[in-house]
Amino acid sequence: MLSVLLTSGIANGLLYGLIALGVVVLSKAANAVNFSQGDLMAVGGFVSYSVISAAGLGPAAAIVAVLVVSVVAGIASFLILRPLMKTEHVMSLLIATIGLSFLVKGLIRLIWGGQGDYLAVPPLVQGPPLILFGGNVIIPLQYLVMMAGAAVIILLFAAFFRFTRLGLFMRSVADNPRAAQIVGIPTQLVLCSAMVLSITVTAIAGFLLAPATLIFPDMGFALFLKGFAAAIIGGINSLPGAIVGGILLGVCEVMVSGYVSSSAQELSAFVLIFVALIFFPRGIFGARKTRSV
Amino acid sequence: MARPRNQERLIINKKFAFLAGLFLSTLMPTVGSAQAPGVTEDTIKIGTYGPITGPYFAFGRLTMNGMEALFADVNEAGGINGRQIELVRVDDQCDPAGAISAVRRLIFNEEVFAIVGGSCSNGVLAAKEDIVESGIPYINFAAASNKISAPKEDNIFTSMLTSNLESALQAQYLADVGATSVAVVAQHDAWGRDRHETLIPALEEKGIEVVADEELSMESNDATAQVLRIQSAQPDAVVLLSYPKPASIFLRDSARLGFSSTFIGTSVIPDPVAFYEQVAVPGATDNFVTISPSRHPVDSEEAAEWREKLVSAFPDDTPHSYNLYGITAGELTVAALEAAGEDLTRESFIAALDQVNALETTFGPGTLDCSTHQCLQSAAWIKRNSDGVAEVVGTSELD
Repeated sequence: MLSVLLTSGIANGLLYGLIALGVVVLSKAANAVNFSQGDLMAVGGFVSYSVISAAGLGPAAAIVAVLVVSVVAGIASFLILRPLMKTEHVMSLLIATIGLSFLVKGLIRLIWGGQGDYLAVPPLVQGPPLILFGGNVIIPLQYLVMMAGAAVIILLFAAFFRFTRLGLFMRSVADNPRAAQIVGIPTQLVLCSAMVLSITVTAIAGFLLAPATLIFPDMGFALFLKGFAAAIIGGINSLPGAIVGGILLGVCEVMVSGYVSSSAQELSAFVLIFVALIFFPRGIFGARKTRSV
Repeated sequence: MARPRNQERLIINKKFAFLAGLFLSTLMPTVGSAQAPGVTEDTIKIGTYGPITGPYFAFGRLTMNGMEALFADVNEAGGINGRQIELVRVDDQCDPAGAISAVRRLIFNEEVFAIVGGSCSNGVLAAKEDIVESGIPYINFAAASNKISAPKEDNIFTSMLTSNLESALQAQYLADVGATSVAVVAQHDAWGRDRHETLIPALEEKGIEVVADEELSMESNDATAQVLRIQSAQPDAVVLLSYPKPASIFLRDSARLGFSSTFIGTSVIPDPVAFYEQVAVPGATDNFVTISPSRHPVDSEEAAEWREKLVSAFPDDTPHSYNLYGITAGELTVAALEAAGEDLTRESFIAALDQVNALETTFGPGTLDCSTHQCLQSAAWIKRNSDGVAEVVGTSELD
């Protein structure tokens, strides 16, 4: 039981972590929170449905479609929100993203509505669970795929920030936007890239989650809250913190549900946030702000 | 300037004539419909409400379609005592505030003779006070809460399987198939609690032990923990007191973890074939049996005639189990209208409903008996067979 619960917790936690990565990237680059992020994750799930279930194509085609749609959605979101992406418009930007959230939900209903209360994407892999160490460790295949997919995205993410020019620009803007602008870094390009990256990583989480659950237009907000909570637990400006926060949240939920009571599952996430913030007010990996004179 | 006396008198006369006309015009409809509101020499106006648009439209619009198709048949055959049935539909979008205003509109604006409708329990419960106070005959056709018709009110009847009776029938079915231990998975909102509170005592009464009692919320995306806890308890069967989404997630995770048992559904999952397609994992619903207030599935041969009528009358809506619930409610209404006789009043209609006993309907699993005002006291058990077709595997009636 422990191994299955752990695998399930880590698999779900990695997906929360991917959503949290999206939150952190946008927060670092633009000091903004995008409330439509969860709905764009749902878009990832619905695009997967169209490609895999409706068109009968494979997961590779689905991921390409998700990437294309999320890049387009990212650029469109940036163009819509650009006038508000300034320090003095923080609240307006927040409200605008809530509006965007309703718009995306409406678009989902328009495109995929009328086919049932919810839709199902078939599992990416089928078969009996993987049994290791003489039955002491049991890992369902779907969780393995989710974990592997999330791990690949995280590695690509890390490589992007470490080795690409755009990644370095984004880190510079995150560290000191004014200095980055002075040395000629194109901040608008960086903000647009942050928006696209944030939405892409979240939409991929939707692609990975869809075969494990069921998809419906309103699914995004609850999952966005989990991702946001993971980002807070890990430290809102820490990329590794987002992943750790997500895993902690996922494992906590499933362990409490498995060993305490399934009625406490939803509550456990909030208790974890509460406890984490008491001991780590800036999140587990949150950097203390220092000022040199 | 002073007005001439003659002109003043003329104005007074005109005012008097206007008021007299107004008074007489208010009397006219009453004189025309001597029996009751909504009844004329050649029509009976029946009101219905429920979600017609929005995400829950199936519960309302499709049930209304079934009832309207039945009324069309009755009208074509000459109506009831020479009167044609007129159906007035009002949309409440499954919203309690919408239900209150729909009921008030039907009673006061449309002045219907009776209401046959209500699809969402929260809405019907919100409007119940207005229904009771007005004394209008009311037949609930799709909402399942026990609290709608219990405690018994003079003017409220239900042709839908109520939550308490559904729980009792689930317990009876489990006893009939020899289950001695069960696990329960419930969503703990008002809908789920309503059923949970009645199922547990019903199981105890039948001597069936509840070995696991788990919660799975509507928001859950994963049921691994619930499946593992139930798997370790080794129950003979699992009762899923949930809407289709949590039930699907539970069955998908059960298949993924290799857990197999007999899974029992509720009446909100009336079509096991559609449910199989929604679960989308081969084999996951092989042992899934669901309870239904209809003895024939909508795609069965027995329902073919009605399917044709529905498609012809409502080409935009696919035939659905909810159509059949509307037909049952319509048949109950028609039987009581006929029994009430030519001098139709609300009181005589309510008295006729009270007298309904052993009424055969096209789709009711057993006969209707309205002595408790909860007229449907039987259920059918439906599963998807190996050919992919919905099949009735049994019926249960309360002892």
